Amino acid sequence: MKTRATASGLCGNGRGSAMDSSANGSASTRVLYVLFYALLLLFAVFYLLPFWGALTTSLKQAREVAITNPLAFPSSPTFSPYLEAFAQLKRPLLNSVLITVGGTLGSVFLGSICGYAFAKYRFRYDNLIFTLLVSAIFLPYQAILVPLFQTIRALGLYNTIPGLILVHTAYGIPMCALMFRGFYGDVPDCLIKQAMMDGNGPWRIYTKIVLPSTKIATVTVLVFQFTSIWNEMLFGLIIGGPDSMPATIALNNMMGTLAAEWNVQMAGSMWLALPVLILYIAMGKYLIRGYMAGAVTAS
Amino acid sequence: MVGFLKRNPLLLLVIPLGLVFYFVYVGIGWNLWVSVSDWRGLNASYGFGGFGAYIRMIGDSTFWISLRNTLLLFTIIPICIVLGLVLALIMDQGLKGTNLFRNLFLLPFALSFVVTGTIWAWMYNPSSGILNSLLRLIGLESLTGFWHTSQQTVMPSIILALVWQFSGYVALIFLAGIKSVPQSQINAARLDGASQFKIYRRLVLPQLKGALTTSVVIIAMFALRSFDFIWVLTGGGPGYSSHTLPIQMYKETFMSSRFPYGAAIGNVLLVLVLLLVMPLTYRSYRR
Amino acid sequence: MVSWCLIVVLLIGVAALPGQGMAAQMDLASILEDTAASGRFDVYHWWTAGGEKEAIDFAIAEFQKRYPDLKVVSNAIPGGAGGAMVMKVKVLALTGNSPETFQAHPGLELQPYLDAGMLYDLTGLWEYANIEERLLSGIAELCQVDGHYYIVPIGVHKTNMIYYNKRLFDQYGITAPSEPVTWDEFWSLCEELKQKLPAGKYPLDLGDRKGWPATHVFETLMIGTDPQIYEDFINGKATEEQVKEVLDRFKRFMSYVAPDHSARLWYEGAGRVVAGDYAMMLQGSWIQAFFTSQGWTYGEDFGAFAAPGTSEYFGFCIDAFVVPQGSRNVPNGLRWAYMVSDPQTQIAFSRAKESVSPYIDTPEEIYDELTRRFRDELIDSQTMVYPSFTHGTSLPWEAITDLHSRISDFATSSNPDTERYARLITQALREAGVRGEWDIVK
Repeated sequence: MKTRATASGLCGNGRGSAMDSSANGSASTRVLYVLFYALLLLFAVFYLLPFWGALTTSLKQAREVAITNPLAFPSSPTFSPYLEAFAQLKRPLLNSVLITVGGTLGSVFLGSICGYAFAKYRFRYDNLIFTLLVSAIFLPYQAILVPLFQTIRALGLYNTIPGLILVHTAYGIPMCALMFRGFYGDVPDCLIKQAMMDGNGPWRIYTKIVLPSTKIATVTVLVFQFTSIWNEMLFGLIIGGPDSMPATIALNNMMGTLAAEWNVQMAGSMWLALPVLILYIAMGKYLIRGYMAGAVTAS
Repeated sequence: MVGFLKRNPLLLLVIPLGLVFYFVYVGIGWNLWVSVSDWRGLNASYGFGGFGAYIRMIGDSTFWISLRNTLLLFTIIPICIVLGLVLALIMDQGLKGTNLFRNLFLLPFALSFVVTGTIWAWMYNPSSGILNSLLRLIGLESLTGFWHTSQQTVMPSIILALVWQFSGYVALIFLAGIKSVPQSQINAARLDGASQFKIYRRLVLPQLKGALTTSVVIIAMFALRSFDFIWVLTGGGPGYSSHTLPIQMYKETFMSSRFPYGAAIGNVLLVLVLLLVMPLTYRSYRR
Repeated sequence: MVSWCLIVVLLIGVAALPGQGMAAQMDLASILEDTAASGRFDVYHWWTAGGEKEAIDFAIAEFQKRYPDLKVVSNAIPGGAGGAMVMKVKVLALTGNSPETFQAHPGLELQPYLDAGMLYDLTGLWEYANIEERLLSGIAELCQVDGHYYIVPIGVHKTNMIYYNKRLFDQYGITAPSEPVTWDEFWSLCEELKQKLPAGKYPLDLGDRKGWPATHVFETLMIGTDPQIYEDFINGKATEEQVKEVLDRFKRFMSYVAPDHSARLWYEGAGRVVAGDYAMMLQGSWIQAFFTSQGWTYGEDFGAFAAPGTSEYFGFCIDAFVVPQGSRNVPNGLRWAYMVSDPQTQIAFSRAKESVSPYIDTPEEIYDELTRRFRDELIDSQTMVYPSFTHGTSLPWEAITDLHSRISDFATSSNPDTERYARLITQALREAGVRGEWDIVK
């Protein structure tokens, strides 16, 4: 599967870089090196500038924000904006955790079953069903928002956390199924055949052989889904309400209140970014692998 | 029941497939009907109400602005691709610290649009925001602007911010594409005396078609679904100047309670996806 | 297998919502006198700016004096009257999960709720608390729908005032105009400010990041241009020429406004007036509580005058509360509505909010100079009141959401074609089927 090839290429066991074999230390190469580094640094500034401004502002008192340059680091950093933002976002952050954990587990589990079935079993119309399943990845949600809204209202799940978990589970399945089918395709058929001959049923094979041998894949999809659901806003806006709003909505609402000056808003952004940043630093490899697997939909 | 499932495990598929079937395909059909229903106000009504929503669209200048802006977001595609390709090529040079840079470039993509939208609102704030302060600091006072708060500059401002958010990801896709070119081919070309430049141009670039399609599809999908970022940054304003179809759909439906009209706009988006994005993916599925 | 059941439920399909039965009228006296009632309930409002927040907290404190075991959860809905959260409340109410009470404006804003049979009839409560007789004149009529009352007013704001930074005026040697202010005087004041203020400072600000402040200015300039246009407008009869006349003035007004006005919310704009960046702002009198929260005093730090051409008029914005009958606990909603009209609540709330109490029995000593002037105007039979459409009273919901968008588009265009926008605006009223029978011009 191409997914695997590209992802593992990035994770270090693919081929080396172009320069590896041709670097010879000539003057022109050195000039090129400098140029490349300059470009990389320039882009690094471009990508980091907004974060830097957000960080410095989040460490200032409201008064200091008004009179200092936003890029200047505060003379005496304060964490009070973080406390303030946390006080306002406490409940929504908890909601987000519940929604994200529930939605991630639901979509990854159900998507994994689909991925396994479509990777290792042939049944009637399997190609058609799989195509329909994967096509759902391209659904513009605006085309189903009204029915979704009605469904959730009728189920009595409007403004509830289970409602949001259900929705994230349902719309997460196609992507998870696609990623898992790619990963499970790599599990050698002979392993499965052997297990079958030993008299194991498909369910047993799935739990005893496929799942344990694809731990990395499972972590990849988990991380991918976790960040997607954590970052999401639209569903929270449509079917979440005052009791169930995720932190994304609450952060957006902060922009409409006086209680949140820019320093508090930036601190709130940091709170919201924190779990993703932790995952990014601790499990960046998996996240990147997930992005690549996610990207493979079209290639 | 557990025993039954053990014997027929494929039945487990009914749950995920049922969910997707209901929430996606039943939803699409339902939405098509809503757009021609006689639903008025908050309480649903499903009698046939004619094609008023679609007729309204033709005369609705907001709809055309939204459609224009939605398509305008496609300009992110070429910018991101050029930028992503340049970054990928530089990152393929085996420079020390490449991984660090790669992670930095990808960081914006990992974060929520709500976070980046909030940060860019501060970035663009005309009076004391980051960008104008920086421009004043480095003596480029003349370049300071009103960014997302002026009708003239709001769309370019949104596009710049989205390039910031997406280009690192596109670079990653291209880098993966470059790395997946077999080393043996490169060695063979080198033995034939091909220069590094020639290897890239003749051997590597042609093999990046897949990465190119991927990038186009992902950004195009975003452009057609663009809601979160713009909603947070501008709410569709000033005036209508940054309305996109998803923004208008949300406002018509969930603020003005025009459910059939909102449903109709959703259907237009669906048609756009079917026309503009699905053909690209279909070809690659057949391969 | 919960999921199985779920699938079954889903696949059966989903029809319209179960209808809300009319909750039987309850025994009011026993509910209201049950001061030992316990539990907790939600109050929804959109007061988030400085001063406003304190006011609602005072009202809650008064409530808790009478019902000490009932915990009031105060939920501030950002975005105000036009925000999407209002829709949320509507939907929650329709699903029987609404908050026990929420803020609304009397008049046409209530129509969608009434059409859905969603509001508890408070006529009995009005009698119980003797509200009708206690109200200042003109207010009860606005609250009444077909002989019934569904809303209890808490405060009145005047909408057609222009507030200015007095210190800034003094600093640049500008004399504030004496009332009544004519259009010519107003334009020459703007012109003078423009000449005398240094670069980066502007005569006016709008603060229309959320669209409504632009509509607010539009409506005020409209009544100042010609009250007849206003009357025709809310009756759905205004012609494009009439609207164009207002827009021409609005366009001139905008030429004095800080160019990045749409980057700010109304109180951020007000904050910049306090900071001395902008000289004036046309806003409702709720801005006073914000000024006070910034340590400003009327007469010393800021002054105010009625918008040009409107000195005989009083723009009505009435804040009030409704009780949805599909809420989790209707009696608690009734207790809240009752306490809204309570004299002690009125004193505590009006003082902090700097709004005019709608009730006669609120002593006038509690007001500051400016608010007392507004109260006197309200009592004066010569004053002509007009119901604000920006704030929901005199135009239907669909018309207002469209107006907000179109007018905010106008206000943020660099050189708007007034004729085109006049067409768009009258078209919005036509499409919403506006047909009022208001009588403003006496």
